[in-house]
Amino acid sequence: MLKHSKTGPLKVALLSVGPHNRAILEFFFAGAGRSLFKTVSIPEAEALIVDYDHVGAKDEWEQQSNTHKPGIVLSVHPVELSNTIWLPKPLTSKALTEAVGRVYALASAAEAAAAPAPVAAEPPPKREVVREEPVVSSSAPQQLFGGGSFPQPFGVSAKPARKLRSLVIDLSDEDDEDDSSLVAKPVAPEVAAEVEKVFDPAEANISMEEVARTVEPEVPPEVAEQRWRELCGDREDIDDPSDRRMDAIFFTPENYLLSNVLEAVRLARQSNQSVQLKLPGGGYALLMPDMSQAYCTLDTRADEFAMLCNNPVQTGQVALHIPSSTELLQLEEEARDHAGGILDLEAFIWVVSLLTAQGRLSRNVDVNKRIALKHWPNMTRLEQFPQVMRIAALWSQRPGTLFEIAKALDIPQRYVFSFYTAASTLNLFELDQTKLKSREKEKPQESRGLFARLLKRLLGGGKK
Amino acid sequence: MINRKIIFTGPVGAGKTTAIAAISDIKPITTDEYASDMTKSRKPQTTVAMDYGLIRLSDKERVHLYGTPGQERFDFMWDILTKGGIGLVLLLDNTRKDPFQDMRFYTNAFRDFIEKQQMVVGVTRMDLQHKPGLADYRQCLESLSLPSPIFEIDARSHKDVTMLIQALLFSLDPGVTN
Repeated sequence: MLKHSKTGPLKVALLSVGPHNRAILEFFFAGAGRSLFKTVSIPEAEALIVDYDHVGAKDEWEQQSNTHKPGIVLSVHPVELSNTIWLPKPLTSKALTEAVGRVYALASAAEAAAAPAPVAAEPPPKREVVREEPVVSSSAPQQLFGGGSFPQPFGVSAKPARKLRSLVIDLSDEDDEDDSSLVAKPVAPEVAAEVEKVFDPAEANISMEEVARTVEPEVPPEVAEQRWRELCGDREDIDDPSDRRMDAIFFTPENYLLSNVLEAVRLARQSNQSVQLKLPGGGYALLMPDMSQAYCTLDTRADEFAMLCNNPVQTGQVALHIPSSTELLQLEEEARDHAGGILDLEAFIWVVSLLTAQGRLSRNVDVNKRIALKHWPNMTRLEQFPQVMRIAALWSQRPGTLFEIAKALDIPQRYVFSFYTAASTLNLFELDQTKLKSREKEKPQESRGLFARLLKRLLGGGKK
Repeated sequence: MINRKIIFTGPVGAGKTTAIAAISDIKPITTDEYASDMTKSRKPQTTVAMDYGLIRLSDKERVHLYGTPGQERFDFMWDILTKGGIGLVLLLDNTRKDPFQDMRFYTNAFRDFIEKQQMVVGVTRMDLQHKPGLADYRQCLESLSLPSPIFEIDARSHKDVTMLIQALLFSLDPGVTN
């Protein structure tokens, strides 16, 4: 840890500082530099820190100049202002450490200039900065990370000379030190030179061991397509909302198992207890809110479960039950013994929604309403269907009606309807119309080809 | 040669190295392996170690995978590391004491990059520690005004990490087709 030997830390106040550099400073002040700096309010401060590249910083500094407090000016470009020192960005611990001494030197000089001719006056108290050397190399990290001396951004430049430096830093100063060990440690020149060796894995001529990845067996296309029909139906698009086929795209959730499942989930979450949903035919689903899991005795991919979901249920066919602690132990043991039947709770709701709707929409949906996705579904644990990721991405960025999203992506409407039904059942859409806004960013078209090739590679279709 | 890169970040132990290994064409390289000869003769030290992996799309096109140094004190180098990056993969460890603090720290540190490009978040070890849940993370992202995809992942799983990258690419351009 860095440390003053005689006095307490330098009291500083932060003026305008960008969030990134503020995070760096706060991190440094709380850790390695905690005995060097202490953040206080402006009146209490001995020095002020300002990020000169930040909006409004110059004005703020001018306003504070009448306080005559020395300033530490952070900027990527050199800044020469009276009564200030300049610290180049990116900031380094070494530069920050040295800044303390420089600020005191600045204050001493200003004091000496303002004072009458010294007559046997005592020299101003000088704070000596003694630090445990955190950087083995005397030239690092400022030289390593600061400004132009740093190599080009990794993995981007094609400059042949570009190298990534291997920076060696002594971390033994973190929080576990005895203060008595805090003494300056001179750095041997040969050590510094050694650390200057650079290494760039992206361009270094080193042996790269290829990975032989096991290819997971693909589901046969006809099996996958059959499942997608179960999940999303096979309805054709409707171009005209006044089309008489429109009525067929709606369903009434209250008539299906889905409403019982949602009621059970609501009860489980509200009571924070596991709830058993007894299904027709003797099966059941156990909803466990504390672990966000569901255990179902029926395979959610089986025809039996699909039929259970997409056929209306009669009153009394399904029952909710809060198990006693003895019952719960038995049920949980059964779940553990059949771990393949355990799903993420959201995944269970998702698949029940899809199998119920089969590409239809709840009767309560206004198809002309523009909506946007508030939160992404947990895709890694949900059953997938075509275009699901693109739908989520677009709806997350741009409010739109169901028809607009399908048209923008040029995909069958049934996939958009399916996504909407399942994601809205999970409460992932923004309900507040005043909060809808576009978050679309400019898309560099030249990247589209690369993205497509990368996707193809990752999904197993592209060659190395 | 066309070179692009994806940055993996997150606290120590969140699974950055493992996630890179899950999708890399090469066995990941950790830069400190190459510094060990220099350092082993001195007192214990930690190298600023980046993990590196690679996806080769063709002889002339590569996507580099960089894992940021785990020690948060080196965040001053992240600006440089992200230059030219496609996007950010933030991995959080659900067993950490305060994963929301981690989320705030890393999203703050990479804010400019996230706003310019995109971020996806993978939460690891949710099987070991169920709480906080994804709904809690979503709320945290919302409070930070970041509508980023967030998934539970097993960093060892090619499928899970691939899905994170898919979400990243589609977030950058939903018009991409595979």
